[in-house]
Amino acid sequence: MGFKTGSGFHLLVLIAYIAIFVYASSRFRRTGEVYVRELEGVKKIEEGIGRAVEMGRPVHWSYGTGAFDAQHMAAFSLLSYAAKLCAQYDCRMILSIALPELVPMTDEIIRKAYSEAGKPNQYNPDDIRFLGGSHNAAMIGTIAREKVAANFMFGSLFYESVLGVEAAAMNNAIQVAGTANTHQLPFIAAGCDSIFIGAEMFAAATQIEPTPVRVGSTYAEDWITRTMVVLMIIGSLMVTFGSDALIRLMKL
Amino acid sequence: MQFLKNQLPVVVTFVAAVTIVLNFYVDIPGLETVSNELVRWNVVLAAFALILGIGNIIKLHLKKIVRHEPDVFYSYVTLGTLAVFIIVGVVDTTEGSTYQWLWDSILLPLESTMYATTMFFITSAAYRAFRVKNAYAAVLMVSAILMMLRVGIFASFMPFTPDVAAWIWDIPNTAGMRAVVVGTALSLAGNAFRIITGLERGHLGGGT
Repeated sequence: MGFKTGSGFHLLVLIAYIAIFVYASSRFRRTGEVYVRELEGVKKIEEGIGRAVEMGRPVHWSYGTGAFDAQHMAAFSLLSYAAKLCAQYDCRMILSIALPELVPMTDEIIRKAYSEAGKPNQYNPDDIRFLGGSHNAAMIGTIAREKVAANFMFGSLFYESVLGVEAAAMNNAIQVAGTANTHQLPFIAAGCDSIFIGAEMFAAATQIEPTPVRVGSTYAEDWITRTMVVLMIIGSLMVTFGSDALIRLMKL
Repeated sequence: MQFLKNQLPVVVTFVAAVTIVLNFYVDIPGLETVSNELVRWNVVLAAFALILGIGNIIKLHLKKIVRHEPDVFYSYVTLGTLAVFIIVGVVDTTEGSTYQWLWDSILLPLESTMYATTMFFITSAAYRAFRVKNAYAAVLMVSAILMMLRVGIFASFMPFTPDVAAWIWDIPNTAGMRAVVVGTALSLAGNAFRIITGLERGHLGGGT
């Protein structure tokens, strides 16, 4: 038994993350002080739902077609927020889902949102539509036929991001999307009213509901990101001047 | 019931995830086998989830048929296709010639067609994005034009464009993308930590 070579630096980062997380979350518990940069996308979600209510049209939600990963977990927080608003303002939300494992989780989140709004009977499970891996055509059809007033796409997005965003643009829908898949960021940036770039999706949950756990996590992520940026600059300078000491240290 | 719904998934997640994470850092005999087996179970769990998904499709379209909703024809087509693929897949196996023929002759052309339509959607997206509404849109448009001019006949008329485009691609673009990747990777790790320790329960319908 022993430590595997090459994992030492990862372990160090993990320990640092846990230490900062514990410190920040306990400080927030004590003081209640937090600063989270306001993300425009969160407001746009509310604006989109408000517009849908005014127009008497539904809103549409998609997680994209990418494999299940932590991006979906971030999307769940945003879905929970959007579903609560929809339940509160009696706005219909239609979901196009490509992955089967997302169906029960989505069902649970929306059911809870309606229960919390005191309207459990208004929850319609038929609006959660499992369309399978090739869900793009059905998603475009849903967006066009239902004339959605807002379109939200969060998760592991692939080329369906272009299709969904453009289909909804034909309805003049308010659109908000977010993904960590860098290859799709230009497309959602081009078509949406507001976007969440990578880590912003995770930070959005902290803005929506700043619990000690979320605040601690966001704080730790921010500080480690800053440290990484400093290390990248130092590493670049060291390599430029012929030293690979930092690289060797990170490979321990 | 509450234990099955709330506590048990957290316990299972914790045990499975800690086993896999531990295997990444520590060399314990047998741990790698257990870790790999747990990862393989993911496929089995996804198969169970697929049953739920199929149930969702059948329920949704049967309701449409019973209610004689508009476009009910497509519900018949969906359920019919689903039945054909399941029956042929079970009888002929997914490696069989009949199943392969169905796949290659129906699904593949339809998916290729869908993918090909992306061209029109991208054109439409580009048109909307390149309308110069502010300084950011102007930067985007100029960068995009330079990227387009670096190839083909334009490059021979304006020989400086490939170099400028290569600089945009290699320096600002790569730096920006790496910043996104580093930030996202740390957020993913942070999120994973919260889920493994049961602090984040959004996927179970709860919060934190």
